[in-house]
Amino acid sequence: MQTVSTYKASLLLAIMLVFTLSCGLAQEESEFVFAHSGPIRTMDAPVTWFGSTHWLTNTLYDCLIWRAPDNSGYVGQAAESWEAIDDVTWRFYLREGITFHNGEPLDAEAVKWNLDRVRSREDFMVHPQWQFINEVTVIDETIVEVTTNDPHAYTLNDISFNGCQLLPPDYLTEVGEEEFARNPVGSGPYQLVEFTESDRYVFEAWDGYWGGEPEVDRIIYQVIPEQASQIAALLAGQVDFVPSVPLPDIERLAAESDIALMDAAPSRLVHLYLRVETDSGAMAETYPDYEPVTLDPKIRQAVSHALDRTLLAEVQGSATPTLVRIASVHAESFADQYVGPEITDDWYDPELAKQLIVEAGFDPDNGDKPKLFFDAMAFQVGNEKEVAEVIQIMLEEVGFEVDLNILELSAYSEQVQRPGNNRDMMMVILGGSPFLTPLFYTCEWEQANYNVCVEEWSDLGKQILQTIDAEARIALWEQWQEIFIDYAQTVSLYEVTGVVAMDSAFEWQPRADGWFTFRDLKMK
Amino acid sequence: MQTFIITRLGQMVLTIFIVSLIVFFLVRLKGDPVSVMAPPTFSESQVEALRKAWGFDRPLVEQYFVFLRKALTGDFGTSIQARIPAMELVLDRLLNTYLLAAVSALVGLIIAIPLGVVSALNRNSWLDIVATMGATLGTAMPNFWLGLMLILIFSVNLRFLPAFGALEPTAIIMPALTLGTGIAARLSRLTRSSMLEVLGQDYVRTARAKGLSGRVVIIRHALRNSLLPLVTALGLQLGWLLGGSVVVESVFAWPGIGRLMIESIGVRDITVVQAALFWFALTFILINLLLDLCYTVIDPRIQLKGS
Amino acid sequence: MIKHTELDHATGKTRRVVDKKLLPRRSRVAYVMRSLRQNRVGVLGTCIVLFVLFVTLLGPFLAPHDPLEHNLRARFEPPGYSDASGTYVLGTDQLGRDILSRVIAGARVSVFVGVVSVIIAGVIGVSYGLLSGFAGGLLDNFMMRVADAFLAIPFIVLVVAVSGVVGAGLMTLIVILGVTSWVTYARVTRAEVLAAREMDYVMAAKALGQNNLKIMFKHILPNVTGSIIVLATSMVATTMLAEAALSFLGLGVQPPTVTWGLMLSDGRQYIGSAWWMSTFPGIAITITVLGVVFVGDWLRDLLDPQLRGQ
Repeated sequence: MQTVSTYKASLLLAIMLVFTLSCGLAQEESEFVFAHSGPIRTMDAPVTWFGSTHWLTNTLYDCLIWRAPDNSGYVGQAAESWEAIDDVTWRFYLREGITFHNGEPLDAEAVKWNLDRVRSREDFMVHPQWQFINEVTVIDETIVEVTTNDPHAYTLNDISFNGCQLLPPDYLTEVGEEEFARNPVGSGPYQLVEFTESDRYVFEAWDGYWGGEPEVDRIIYQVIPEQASQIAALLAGQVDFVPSVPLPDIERLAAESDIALMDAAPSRLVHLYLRVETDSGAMAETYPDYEPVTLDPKIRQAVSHALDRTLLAEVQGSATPTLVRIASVHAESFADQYVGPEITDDWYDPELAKQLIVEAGFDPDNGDKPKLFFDAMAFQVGNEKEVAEVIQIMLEEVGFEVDLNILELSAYSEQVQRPGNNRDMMMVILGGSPFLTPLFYTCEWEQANYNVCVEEWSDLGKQILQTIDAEARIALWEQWQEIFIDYAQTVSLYEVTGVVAMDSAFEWQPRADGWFTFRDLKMK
Repeated sequence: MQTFIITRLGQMVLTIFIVSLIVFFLVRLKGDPVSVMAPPTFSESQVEALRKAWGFDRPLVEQYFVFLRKALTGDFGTSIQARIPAMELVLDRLLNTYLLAAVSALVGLIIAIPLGVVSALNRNSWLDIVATMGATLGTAMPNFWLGLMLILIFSVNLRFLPAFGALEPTAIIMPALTLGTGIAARLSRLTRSSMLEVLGQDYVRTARAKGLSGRVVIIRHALRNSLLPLVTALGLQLGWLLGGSVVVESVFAWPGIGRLMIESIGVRDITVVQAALFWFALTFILINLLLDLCYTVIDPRIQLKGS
Repeated sequence: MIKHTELDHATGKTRRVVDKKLLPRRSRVAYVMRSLRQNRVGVLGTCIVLFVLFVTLLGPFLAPHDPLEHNLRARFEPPGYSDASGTYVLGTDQLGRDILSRVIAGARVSVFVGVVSVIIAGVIGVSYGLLSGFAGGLLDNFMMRVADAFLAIPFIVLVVAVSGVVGAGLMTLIVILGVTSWVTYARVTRAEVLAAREMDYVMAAKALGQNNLKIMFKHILPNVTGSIIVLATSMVATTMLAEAALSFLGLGVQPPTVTWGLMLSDGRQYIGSAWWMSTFPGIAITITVLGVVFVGDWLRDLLDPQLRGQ
């Protein structure tokens, strides 16, 4: 009897102890909540091309390699090391014995399966970006070889591009794509434990990660569409990170001792597209006899010189003015000479713009003004629509007549960015990956909005992509940029930057690529 | 009675069919969604391939019949963006929207009935005017503005209500308040007028003459009898509540179908838009049918008319 | 007062109707004025509406600044700020534009949107209701099911969906608001038509062999007018709020057009730090809607005799 009751008592004690301990542990669990503006698309990563969804997939999946946080180069994820065998061949050496969350091995076969999937599926939005690959070969269990179609200067950049995420082939084949979208499995430091589509995504640290279990236990992406609600939630301590702080709120947040403000890296480039031809897309059908004034290079130059980019950047809120179409995240050393207020202020010359308009055969002082139809888009957040208004004012000051048409973003991409529906000038927001940029200006590129074909320029672009030697490539880039600025089909305006706010209990540095991924998040 | 129900059901089926037509053609008013889905780097031939992959290259009428046939089995197609069946996404969030609508209706009634009663009992006095104005104020304010103000006061300054989501039970207070005040004006006006009507009737006068105290008369007789029209009005206000959820759910990041629909329209995820629109309509139709039937049971005059 | 009793087929109740044609004009004006005097809320509403109309008409002369004029050195300045280019009584917005001038300019567009779209909806709805009520039978039944279907999709949801797909400029928005809100008019009109059809003078006109069109316009339409005016007034309020909601969702009118909804929407991301950006257009819209609703209530008392006498 006695022994039994002692046994019972000690059992009780033990249970109590376990409870107390687990309660204590539960309190220790660290949780990080990110306020996402939404929407968030599928977790079947290669399908979508939206960066803000890839912030999440990057938590869940590994790629072969990935951009270093400070953009100094690349870090290995599934691949431990990599080397170029020749101009068209790269070899990737995988980490030994790594697996997906479900235990499935992440080996060379799995890598091949993934790369083949993303470059062969035409319904994937990232499909065009993966056509540089010619073949993927399995050398042995941990070595995989990628050959490109031509010598390709940007293989590492492209192989860490959206769609690089590695998915478990057996699991996906077994359950099908629909079920996979519900229950995705990766090999990254966090597992997705629960989510409501485009609302709340809870990631939990995975102890089987090759890099060791991450320090923060749970990372939650919470969709809060309203910026004011995001700030409110941050102040109320309900979220730990707000990715974009409105200008007037900065002062208020700076006063809070437990909130850290940081400058975020550029996230997007804003440009104007001017029409340089009339026979592509539906242009000929929609406006059969229409002759845009922008066919004249003098008019295009006038537009470029009429814009005070520094002021436009200020209206945007927080931005760096630029003359070229390469994002600073991808910048090679040539970019500096075209970016920054000093350079754009030099370029801004309304008198020259007026003179160019006269040279083009117009007489603004006597009412003969070149007329521009200007399509622009409005974002929910950000001042693009105000920028468009200011552009209109600037152009009218030098003698243009501007007919401004602003549309909400999705209607804009449907109605304006369709072939030929845009007339003289449209506002575009584009990434600035060096690999993609010259492609837009080659004669073969059947681009939805404009066909740009300048033989010399087109050849230069192809040459850049195939020049492996960095120094020679940069020399070519400089020539290319001169033509870009001079031809003025694309008039680059500025690169949007921003200010982020974070709960200061955490430690994290903004990434140079502007991505909000937190696989290396630490506690202070 | 039976014929009435059968007629109503028949009408309902026809209405739902027309809803399906509206829903289908509405999302295609400006052509297909592929141009929004495709990134700017897509060439025309790739866009064409995408169009084919999603079946948007088929004639519209054919697309409609495929849509209708599948919709009858509850299949609204796979979400283009989420790659999960659209119906599943909607059902995931449906309860949240219903919960919000129900609590908001309750809030609306809690505000409206006392104001309406006060108005009726003090007809044309300053109290009546203040009560009327107070109730109307909720309707007159743009609800997202009211919502943001509430967040500013209760989440940021006082810090006792969560600013977003549906994670804690208290999270529903502010969205429900925002939506509920929106219907309070109409309900309180209705309470007022039907109270006035009842108060003028013989049995209330009799009750008063019998010496029953004012409060008892109001609660036992007048109020109870004036609640009936309130129930029907609530059915019609449901449209307002569901509509308002589109905006209020965005302000408070409430995970309901209103927000789902807005997001899906933005990215032209038309399968989800169709499913969401359809559920909005179905909810409205079914609730109103139910209220109609309840009303028929309660009010004999309607019953006579039906049979 | 000259009234007669009629049966409302929609509710099965009887009600008294004033045949306004039978009232002499002078006594009609006196009647309206007396009713207004009795209704203090109505007086308040009328004053508000008249004030807003005054601002709408004289807007350009009242505004201290050009509502589109930027002053990038004076962004997010609080009410009362003044610099070389003048005083900003209600502060400035994110581009340094004068809030007061924009509120004034916004009145014009907001009122325009409200009134014109209501007229469009009214015309569609009344014709639809007349046709449906007169046709009767299967066509009527079918037409009412179409109306039911439109009613089943909540107004805002429908507007949001259409403008999300079509993409709205000012005129598009007005048309969208108009063509999505006609249903209530149709139902009210139809109910009136059904009621009127049974009335003696319509029966008499029919017996005399007048054609349907003539009966519709001479005998029925005047009787519908009261209810339609009441309805239209409340729809002006609903439409103005819908415009604001659309702007909030990014689907409304786009700049450079100035509307209260757009101002509210622009100001909302700064609500914690530059409260004046959203507060003043918010107050403007609230007061205007309040005024319109009060006028609507008063008109209901005046024109819908069911409530009169209480």
